[in-house]
Amino acid sequence: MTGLAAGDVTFALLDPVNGVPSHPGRLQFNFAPGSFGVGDSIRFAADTDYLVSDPASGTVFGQGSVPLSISMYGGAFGEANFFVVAATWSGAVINTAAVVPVPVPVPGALMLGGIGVSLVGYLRRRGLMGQPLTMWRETLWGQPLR
Amino acid sequence: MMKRTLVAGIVALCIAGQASAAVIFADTTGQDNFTTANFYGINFLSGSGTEYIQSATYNLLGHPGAFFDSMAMPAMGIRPSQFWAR
Repeated sequence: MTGLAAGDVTFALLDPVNGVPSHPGRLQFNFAPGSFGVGDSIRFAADTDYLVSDPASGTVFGQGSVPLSISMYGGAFGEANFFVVAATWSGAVINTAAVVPVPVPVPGALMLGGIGVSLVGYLRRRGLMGQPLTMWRETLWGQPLR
Repeated sequence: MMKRTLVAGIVALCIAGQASAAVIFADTTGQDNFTTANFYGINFLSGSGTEYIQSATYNLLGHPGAFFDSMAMPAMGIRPSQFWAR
């Protein structure tokens, strides 16, 4: 146990299986603000039933691809499934990232923005903003729209 | 007005593209999770240094009928009374 005190950790037993409160399908740890930072770690014990095999070795979580989700203060989130590392050992690597609202690459966004600004400027210079399409055709190509 | 909106949108996209990331490694280690005191681990490996974990959630719901039936953090003296006394 590194970097945390007992008072920093609380638990939530979620989704009781068959309605039994002490049989949660999800086990959640909550950490006090500013307590679980880089370099910190916790270890704990918990028995499981009906998960791949019983008794359950460390391999079971990887065999069952059990997911673990991590929420960060500030809104970032990550989730990954356990995988088998070796005999009696499973692991999961969780990368958290803030939610990106629009999946447009920055260079693409800059290019599209530049094109938009240039187009608006050009149309203004030609006096075409707010004009009907017939006027565009006459101004740009010198002939009326048929 | 249009230009201002466009610039604001581009700035927002740039900020979103710079989103930070943290790396956490979790493990389960041991012969039997009923008898191994430190069977589960969560390690905050890397991040910006200003990030903190708010919660970690293990999910057994993909395995019908599976559940946790005991939990404790012996190193911290934590044995939630509502959740079995290990």
